[in-house]
Amino acid sequence: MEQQIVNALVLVGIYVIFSLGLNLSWGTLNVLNLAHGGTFMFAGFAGFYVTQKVEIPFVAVALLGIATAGVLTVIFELLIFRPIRRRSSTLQQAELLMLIGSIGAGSVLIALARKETDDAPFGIAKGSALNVKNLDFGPVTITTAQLLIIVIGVLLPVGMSLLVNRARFGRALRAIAYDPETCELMGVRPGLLSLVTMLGSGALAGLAGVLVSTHIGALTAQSGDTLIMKAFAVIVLAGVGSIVGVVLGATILASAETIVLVSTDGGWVDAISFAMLIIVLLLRPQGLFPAVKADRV
Amino acid sequence: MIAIAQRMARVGAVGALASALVLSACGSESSDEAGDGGGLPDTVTLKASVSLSGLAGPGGQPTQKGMEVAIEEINDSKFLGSTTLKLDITDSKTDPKVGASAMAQHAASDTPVAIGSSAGAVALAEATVAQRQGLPLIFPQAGSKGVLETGDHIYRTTPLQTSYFHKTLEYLQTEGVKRAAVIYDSDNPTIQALNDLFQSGASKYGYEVVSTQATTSNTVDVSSQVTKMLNAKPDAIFVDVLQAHNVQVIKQLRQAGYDGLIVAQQGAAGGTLKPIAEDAEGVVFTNDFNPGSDNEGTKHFTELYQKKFDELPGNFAAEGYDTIWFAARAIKDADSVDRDKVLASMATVGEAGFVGALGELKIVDRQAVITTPVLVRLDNTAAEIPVE
Amino acid sequence: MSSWLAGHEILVQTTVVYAFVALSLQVVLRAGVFSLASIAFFGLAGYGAANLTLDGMNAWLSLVVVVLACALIAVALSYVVSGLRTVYLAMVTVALTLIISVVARNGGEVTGGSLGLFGIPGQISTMGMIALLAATIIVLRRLEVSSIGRSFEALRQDEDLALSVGIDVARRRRFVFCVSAVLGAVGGVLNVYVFAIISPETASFSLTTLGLSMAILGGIARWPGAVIGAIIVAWMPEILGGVTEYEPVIYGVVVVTLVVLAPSGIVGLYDGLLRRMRERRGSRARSDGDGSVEGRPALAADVAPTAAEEELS
Repeated sequence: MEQQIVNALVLVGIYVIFSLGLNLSWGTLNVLNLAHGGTFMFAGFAGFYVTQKVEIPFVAVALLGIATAGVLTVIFELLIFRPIRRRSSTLQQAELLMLIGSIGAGSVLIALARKETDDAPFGIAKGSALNVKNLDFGPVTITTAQLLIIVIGVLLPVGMSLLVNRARFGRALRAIAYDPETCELMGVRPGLLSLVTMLGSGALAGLAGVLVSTHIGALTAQSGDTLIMKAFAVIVLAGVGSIVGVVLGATILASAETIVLVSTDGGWVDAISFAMLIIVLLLRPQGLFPAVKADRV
Repeated sequence: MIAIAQRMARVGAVGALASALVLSACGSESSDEAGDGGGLPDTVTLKASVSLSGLAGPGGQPTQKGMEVAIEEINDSKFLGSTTLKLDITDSKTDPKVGASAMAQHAASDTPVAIGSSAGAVALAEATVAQRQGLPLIFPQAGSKGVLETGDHIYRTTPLQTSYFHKTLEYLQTEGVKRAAVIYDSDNPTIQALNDLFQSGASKYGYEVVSTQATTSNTVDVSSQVTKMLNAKPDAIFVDVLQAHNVQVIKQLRQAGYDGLIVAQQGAAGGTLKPIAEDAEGVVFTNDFNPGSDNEGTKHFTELYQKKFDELPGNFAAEGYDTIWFAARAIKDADSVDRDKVLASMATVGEAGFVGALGELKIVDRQAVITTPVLVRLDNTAAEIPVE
Repeated sequence: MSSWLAGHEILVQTTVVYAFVALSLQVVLRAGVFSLASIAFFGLAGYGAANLTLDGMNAWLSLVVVVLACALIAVALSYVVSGLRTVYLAMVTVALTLIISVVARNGGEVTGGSLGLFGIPGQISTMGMIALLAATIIVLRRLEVSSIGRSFEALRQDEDLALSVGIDVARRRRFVFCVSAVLGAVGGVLNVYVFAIISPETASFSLTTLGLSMAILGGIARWPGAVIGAIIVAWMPEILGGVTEYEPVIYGVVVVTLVVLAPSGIVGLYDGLLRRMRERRGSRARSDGDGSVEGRPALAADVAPTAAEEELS
């Protein structure tokens, strides 16, 4: 029982780290980046690819994964999202095209990984992987990987919250989402800021990818697919842009999934997030913590 | 005015495209007419649809190699007299649409009998096309439900796991296992069938099933199920999951601290567990083929394969080899490339049985049956070593 | 020649199925309704037709029954979901598709569980399918040029404006949602007749991606876009002679490139070319305010972005 709580907490951690990344790009730049799942997976893939050839310390692998995902997302912003915004005549049209574009970009990453791994699971090579140890706390066994996920899952939202609410950078970020024109007048450079945001969003996907890859031991090219749907469900439940909401939403979803997993044979677990999504959108589409500009629905 | 012109241009463009396609494809199939009445032509080309890429790719590629070994041997030994046997393979990419489309083309060609893909969904689609077109079709692997039921033109040269799984259960008994647990992929019928055998074999083979955990083949995190199984303190755990899934499940079992016996099934074969070779050391399962086996057919095939590819063959290659040989024997027996005659010969040859890479092989009700399955244990490089 | 047809029959039939999928998406996207629900109906209808024909019903009759049932379901659903906007509608409809997969996987006898259903006896001849497609296109064409159809453009570009000229926006959105669902349903039934199998993976997210690619590639402005997109996607592997290995990668890159550089697809490029030719001849390309669809590019690419959009980039 206690062990299952640990399992649930780990799941919360994974959802929080992954969803916060998606939340960042969606909340501030209006782009629902469905390539987020692909970059998550690709970070793990990068770790696999490099450590096959050369042995490097785990910290380096982690940084590599994070950087890869961050850079990829910046590339997508520069080559896909930005040009689309520029060329579209309405915001609606831009959103549609960016969504499709992100799907395409994600599928390229998945195809590359599939080809290189022959669709087999891949993980960080033994020599470079984190030496995962088991820690016993009474009735409960936690691995160091699980502990890492839980700790980061707690620190990250706190840190981000502080950054967004207090730091100048964070306030600038919120400002450009609200009123980009005035921002520019105030000396904020929205172009640079949006790049940094996308970098951060990607970095979070990469962090999640490295952590999950270490925790589970291996990822497959499709690992990001279901995760992205769940992240979407979490964010919708949370209310786009709300960090507290994401933590709450992730907790609700992870708990529901674990309960179902423990008490049934697990065939319906994935349906929970889909059902949750539909219910929230129909009953309270603005989520638990609605954004200030409620023009979404 | 402009509107009409536009419409005409549009129709014209589509028409041009269509004609281009038609013209480019017309007159492509070259046919070697058979002689007058019976007898075989100078060349017989067997058409095969094999998944060389996609999920089933890792199995398809060795299958192709095994088939090539067979083709070479048949021609070198002049098994079909002066007739040369050729093999034409299309990649079905583990996609039912691609496979079905390819099979339609094979049906329209001269091939007397065709070979199909290994993955269930693809096999079903291909079998449907072949049966509708009256093309005899032989499957290596493709152990999915419904494939043979498609019709009387469908044959399978790979034995069903359920027919030799009992060897694994026997092993549990000889090892004195009293408490056994299982984790299985509930979304696959073959896997479920094996689980059913495991459950019903409890009393016969002397163990008690202390924990049964279901998961699905795309579930990456099985820590909940692992926790539940370990709580039941089993002596042995049966990991009954689809190929790639074995990696995640076994790794998480070991990470959770389980050091005991793990038995699996054929999904763990063919080097699938190489990424976690150290954790997978000691895993035991029954396979239909092992290069170290003692029987003549296996030794003969292994020798030929090693000479050509400089490596040991696995079960996929062996099954591919037997498939080609079965086709060749049927063609020789029928002494014709007429599909109905070849189909009839397939029944005859199958009933009589023959010696192939899998040892003595008989085909009963269009399904292969073998007498020599092999119990194997994985060493620390995920290589399969027969258990004495 | 007939052997070519026989050998490529599956490919031709697949193209018809793809055409229905592409049309189902083109119809909604053109009206600015970002519903991907037609894929969910593709799956639902497929399972329906599979069960009916396995129970012995005639193939054409099953088609009619299933499509009618889906139409009713779509009408009910349209009241519930079509109030949602853009990405939300898209994701809800994707969620619907995924839920159907999960239900199918756990559906026991009715859906055949994870293996699905096979040996489905329903069959419609290739000519029958082509005839069905042709008839559908004729109907869609008439819809496109009718006043309802022309209002879809307005719906997509500026809803408030449409409202202000008296168009019942909500009703039109529901209508187009249902049309899309019906097209998806037809595609799903035909798909089952071609391959005689259906599984939880049949109507999956990758089919959604495929459908979107076809619609975008061809262009969403008019029905030929969907058909062209379907033909290209279905025949590309055949024509390229199996470049295989990097195919999915090339595919994704093509989709991304199109979305960025030519979002109005082939039809849009063609229209743009036509317009430039006309402009060069000096005649007026656009007649303002008559809502005519002919010759007008799908996106107002020649309108300068507003200052707000400039800031976003």
